[in-house]
Amino acid sequence: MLRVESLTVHHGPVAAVVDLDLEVREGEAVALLGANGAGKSSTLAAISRLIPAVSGAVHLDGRPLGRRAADQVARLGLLHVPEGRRVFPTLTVHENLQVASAARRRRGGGPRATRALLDEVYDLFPMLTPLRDRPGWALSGGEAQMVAIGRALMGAPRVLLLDEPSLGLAPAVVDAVYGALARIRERVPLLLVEQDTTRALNLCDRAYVLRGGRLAMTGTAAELRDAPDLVAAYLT
Amino acid sequence: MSELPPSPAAPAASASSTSSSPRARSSSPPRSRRAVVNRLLGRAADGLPVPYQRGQLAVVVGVIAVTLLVGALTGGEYGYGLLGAWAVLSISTLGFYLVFGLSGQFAFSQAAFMAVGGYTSVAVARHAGFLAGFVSAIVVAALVAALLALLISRTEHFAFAIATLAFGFVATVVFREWEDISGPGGEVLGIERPSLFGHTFATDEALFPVLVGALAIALVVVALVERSPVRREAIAVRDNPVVATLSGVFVQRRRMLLFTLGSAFAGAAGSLLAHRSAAIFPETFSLQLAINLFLALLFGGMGSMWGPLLGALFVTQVPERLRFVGRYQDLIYGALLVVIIVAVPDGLAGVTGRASRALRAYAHRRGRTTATARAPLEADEAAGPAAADEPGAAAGESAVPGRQPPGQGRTSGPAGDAAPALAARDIDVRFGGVRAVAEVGLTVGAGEIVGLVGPNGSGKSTFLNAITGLVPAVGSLEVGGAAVPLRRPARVRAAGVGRTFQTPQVVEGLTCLENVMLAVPERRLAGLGAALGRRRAMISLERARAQRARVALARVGLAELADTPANQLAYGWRRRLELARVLVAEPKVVLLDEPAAGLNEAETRWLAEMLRSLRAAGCSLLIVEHKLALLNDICDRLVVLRLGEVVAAGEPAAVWADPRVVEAYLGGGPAAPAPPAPAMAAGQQAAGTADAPVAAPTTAGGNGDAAS
Amino acid sequence: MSGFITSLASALTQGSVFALIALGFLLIYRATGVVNFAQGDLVTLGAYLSYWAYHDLELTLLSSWLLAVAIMFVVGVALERFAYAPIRTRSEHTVVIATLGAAMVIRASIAIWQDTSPKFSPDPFNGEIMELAGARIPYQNLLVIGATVVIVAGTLLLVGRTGFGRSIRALAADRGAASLVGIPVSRVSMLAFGLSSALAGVAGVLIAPTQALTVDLGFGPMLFAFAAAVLVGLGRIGAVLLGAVAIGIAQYVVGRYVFPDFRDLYPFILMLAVLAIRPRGLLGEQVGRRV
Repeated sequence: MLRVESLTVHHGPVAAVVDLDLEVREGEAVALLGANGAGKSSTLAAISRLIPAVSGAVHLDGRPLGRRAADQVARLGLLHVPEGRRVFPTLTVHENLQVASAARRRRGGGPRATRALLDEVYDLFPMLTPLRDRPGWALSGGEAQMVAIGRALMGAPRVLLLDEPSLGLAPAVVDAVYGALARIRERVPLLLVEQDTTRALNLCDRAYVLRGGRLAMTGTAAELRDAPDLVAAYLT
Repeated sequence: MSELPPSPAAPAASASSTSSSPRARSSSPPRSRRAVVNRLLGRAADGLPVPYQRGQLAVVVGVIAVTLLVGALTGGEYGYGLLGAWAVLSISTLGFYLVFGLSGQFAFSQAAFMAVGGYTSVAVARHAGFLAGFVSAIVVAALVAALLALLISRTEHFAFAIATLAFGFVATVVFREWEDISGPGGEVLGIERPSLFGHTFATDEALFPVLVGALAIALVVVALVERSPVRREAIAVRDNPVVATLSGVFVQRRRMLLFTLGSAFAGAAGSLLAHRSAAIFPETFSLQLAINLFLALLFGGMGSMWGPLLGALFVTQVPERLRFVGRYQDLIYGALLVVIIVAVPDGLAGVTGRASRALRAYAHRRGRTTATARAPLEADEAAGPAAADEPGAAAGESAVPGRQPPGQGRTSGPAGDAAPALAARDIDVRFGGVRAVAEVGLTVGAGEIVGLVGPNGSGKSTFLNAITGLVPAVGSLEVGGAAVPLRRPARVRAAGVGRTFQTPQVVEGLTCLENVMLAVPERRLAGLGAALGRRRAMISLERARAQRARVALARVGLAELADTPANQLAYGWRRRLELARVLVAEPKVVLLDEPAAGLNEAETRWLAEMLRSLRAAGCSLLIVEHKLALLNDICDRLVVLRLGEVVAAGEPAAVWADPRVVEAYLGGGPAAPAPPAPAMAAGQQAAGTADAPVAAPTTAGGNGDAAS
Repeated sequence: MSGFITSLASALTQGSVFALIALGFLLIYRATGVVNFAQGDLVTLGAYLSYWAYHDLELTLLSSWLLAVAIMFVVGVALERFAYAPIRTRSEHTVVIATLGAAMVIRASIAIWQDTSPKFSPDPFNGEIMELAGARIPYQNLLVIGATVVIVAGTLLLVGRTGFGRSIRALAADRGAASLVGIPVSRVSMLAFGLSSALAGVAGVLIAPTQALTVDLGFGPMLFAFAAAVLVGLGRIGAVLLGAVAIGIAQYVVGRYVFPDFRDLYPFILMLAVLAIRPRGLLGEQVGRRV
C-alpha cells in the first residue's frame, strides 16, 4: 500500500531522518515508535509532503508520488493527521469536516458521498454531534483530536498517517480515540506515531522503532511486546 | 524568599548571585590573555550573554573612519551631498531599527516623525538658532511619539500599522494646511544652514563632518542599547509578549520606550535634512519615504544594527544611479524592490552574518571534535537526557537533601500552620456564553504538590490562565496569605507565582541564557537611562543576572547550551528552558501545565526528580497532568475538575476511590471500560492501560511510598 | 437642508467606495493574513483599463467595464504568482513590503502607459442628476451605493456559505493543515487574489466617472478603506460597510461644517480615537486565547 524508500529529512543543518525504509501493507496497522526527537513526526511529515525530504521515494499503491505537493498527495488518498491536531480554529466542527471533502474531489466527491461520510464520522465520534456548530478554537484537546481524525476520514483515506493521537489527552478520552482507531483500522491501513508504546502495540500488527533518525529495530507487535526491555532501551 | 539548592556545578556562582550588589564585580575576574584582548576590543564579556561578546563599539569606530575616508576620496560637492544624504537617512533608519527591528512594531510613522522634527527645527531655529532647533526637533518628536504610542500601543499588528500610517497622513495634512507654522502649502524655503557656536557650515563638504558626527552618536546609542537589557526585553516583547509579561517585563512600556527613542532619531534626521537642503516640503515626508525606510531596513537586514547603514546606502544611491532611465525610474526601482525582497531574505547584513556564522561554526566544529557532548539541537536524537545531565548530575545529589520520601514527614492536605501558598476562591471564567471555569476554589499548602486533573476541556488550563492573569476572570486569589488582584499578570508574578505552558513557551530570538536572564527578579538598571548613563553598574548587575541564569540552566541540564538560540531547541529542551526561566525567579508557587506531555520515560523520571527537589527547596506546586503515574508518584493531593467544577479533592488514593472521579475522568463511556480506579492507586499494574506504560517502573517505586 | 442631504449622499457614495476597496483587501487578509497595500493602485488600474477599453478599443461602456474587471482578475492571479507565492513563507512584514513594491510598479506602469494628465470617463446615465429635496445627486452615485450593497452581500455569502469560502477560511487559519486535507492551496490562493483584484476593478470602474482619473486615484481612498476596516475590527467583512459609512460621514458630513480644510483628517482622528478606547475596533471580537 505505502512504501517508503531511503527517506532522508533534514531540519536546517541537522539530519532528522536518515535513509529510512518502511512499508505499510494492505489491511495493516503499523506503529512508528521512538524517543522524543527520534524523527517520527518528521517521517510522517515528509511522507505527506508537509515538509520536504532531502532524498528518498514514497510509493502509494506501487506508484511513486514523485514531486507532488502536500495537497496533491492528500487528494491521492494519503491523509495525515498532524502533530498538534491543527483543527481550523475559525471554522466550526461541521465546516472542518466539510472542507476536508476536498481530498476526494476526483475520487467520488459528490454531495451524497459527503453526506454519507459525515454520518459515518458522527457515528464514530458521537461526542461531536452536539458540537457541530462550535468553532475550532473552543474545542478541548480530545474534541479537537476527534475532529482531526474525522477530517482525515472525510477524505476517504487509502492510508492514514496519525501523529501522537493521545498526546495530552485524559485517559478516558484516549480510550475513546483508540476505540475509534480500532474500528478505523478494519478498513484503512494505518501508520501510527505514538509515545504510548503499549497502546500502539495493542492496536498495531507491526512496529518500527527509530533512534536518532535511523531504524533501530522492527518486528511484529507480539515480538515487541515480548521484549519490553529491548524496546525500552531504544526509547530512552 | 528561599534559595533553591545550588547545583554543585556552580556553587560559587550561586553564592555570588545572592550578594548581587553592583560591587560584586570587584572580585576581579581572572585575567587571561584572551580577557585582556577582549577588554582592548571593548568586549569585557566574561559570563555575559552573546550581544555583549560582540565588538559593536569597535565596529562603530571602523564605520566612521571608512565614511570619512570615502568622503575624502570621492570628494566634491556631489559626493559629499550623496554621502550626507546617506548619513541622514541612516540615522532615521537606525531609529527605525529600534522600532521595527528590535521591538517588532510595524510602524509607518517614521517618515512623519522626520517631518515633525524638520518643521519643529525650522520654526525654532528661526528664533533661537540651529542647535536649539535640532535639540527641540528631537524632544518634540519624542514627545509626540510618546503620546501616539500611549494612544495606540494596545492595538494589534496591522491595526497599529494602519494607525501609524494614518498618523503620517494627518501630519502631512497638518503641515500643509496649518500655514502659521509652515509657509504657503507647507513649503518653507531659505532655511538657514546648520551652524554651531557661530560657525556656519555653508557647503555640503563643510557640513559632512557634522553629519558624520551625528551618525556616530546615533550608532553609539544603538550599540549601547544592543549591549543592555533593553535589547533583550525588546526582543522578548517582539517574539513572545506572554512570556515577557510573565517574566516581569512591562510590555507596553518597553514598546513605548523603543517607539519613542526610534522616533526621536527620526526627529534628529528630519532636522538635519531640513537644514541641509535649506528647504522643506510636506511631500518629502510622504508615504514614499516611509516605504524607503522599510526598504532600507529590509534590504540591509533587520537582524543587526549594521543593516540600516547598508540599506540607507541602497535607498539613497540607487534612485540616483537610475536617473538615466528617465520615466522608467519608478518602475525599475519598484521592480528592484520586489526582486530584492524575494531574492535576499535576510538582507545584505543577513548574508554577511550568515557567512560569518558559518565560518564560526566551522571553526567551532574543528575545535571540538573530541568533545563528547553534542548540542541537542532540533532533531538530534535527544534520547532523553544524556547521562551527563541526569538530575543527579545536573542538580546534584544535594538537590534533594535527605531524599525526603513523599507522604512522610509532611502533612498531606493543606498545611495547617502557615498560610497556604496559593488560595484561589470562586474563580469564574466565561468565553462568550461558555462558562469555562465555574467558581473553582483551590488551595495549595506551603510545600505541597497538588495535582489538578480532569478530562479534556474541563477548564484546567483556563484555570491556570485565570490565576496568572492571562484571561479575564473573577474571583479572589491569595498568595502566601496576601491578596493578589486577578487580571494583573505582573502582580501575580511579583507575588511569587511562576508557570509553564502546555506548549513550552520560549523567546525564539534570544539565546537560552538570555531567555532565563529575562526572568531574574532583580530588575534594577534595566532601562534606557542605565544603558546609556550607568554602564558600569548596569554591566555588573547584568553579570550577576547572567550568573543566576547559568545556575538555573545548570539545574535543568542546559548549561552547555547557554549561548544557543532558543529557536534551535527541540521540544523537550524547550520544556527545560521554560523550567529554568521559572526557577530563576525563585517562585513560591509554580504552576505547571502538562509538564510531562511528550516526554519519554527517562525524561519523565528526570522531571519527577526535579519537581521533588523544588518542593524540598520550599516551593509549592500545582500540576496539571494526564500522566497518572507521575501524579500518584509525586502529589500530596489531587483536585479533579469536570466541566469547570471541582468534583473531588483529597489524597490520591482517596480520590481514585471516589466513584464520581471514576465516572468523570477515568472512563465513562461503555465503549471504553476503564481499569478500576481503586486498583490503580493500590497496585500499579492497572495503570498500564490508563497511562503511559513506559512510566510504570517509576511509578512502581513512587507508588510504594505513596501507599505507605 | 439640501446641503445636508448632498453631503450625506456624498458620504454614502464615498463610504460605498471605501467598503468596496476594503472588501478586496479583506478577502486577501482572510485568506493569507496579510494586508495588501497594492489594493489602492489596483483600483486605479481598473479605472484606467475601463477608460482605455472605452476610448481606445471603442467598446460600449458596459463591455469596457466588464473587460476591465476581467483583466483585473488576471492581474490579481499574476500578482499572486509573481509577488506573493515566492515569499509566502516569509514574515508577514516582508510580504506587506512586497505589496508596497507591487504598488509602486503598478503606479509607475500606469504613468508610463497612459501618461499623467487627468482623464475623464463617462457614466451610463450621461451625467444625469437626481433632484431630492433640493439636493442634486448624480445617478452614478446611486449606482455605486446599490452595487456596493449587492457585492458586499454576495461576498458575505461566498465566504460564509460556500465550499470556496470554507477553503479560503481554512487557508487563512492554517495553510499547512489546509493542504493536508487536500485543499488545492495554490489554486485557492490564486483565486482569492484574482477575486480581490476584480473587486478592486469594480471599485475602479465605478469611481472613474465620478472624478478625474489620475495615477493617485485609488491610493487615498485605500487609506480611508483601511481606516474603515480598522474602525470596526480588521477582518470583519460584513461590518466593514458600517465602518465605511461612518468614515464617509466623518469626512463629508462633519467635514462640511467643521474646518473643511481638514476634513480628510476626520476619518483618521475617528479611527485613532476608537483604537485608543477599543484596541480591537468597535466590533472587534474578544476571542478567548488558548495559550
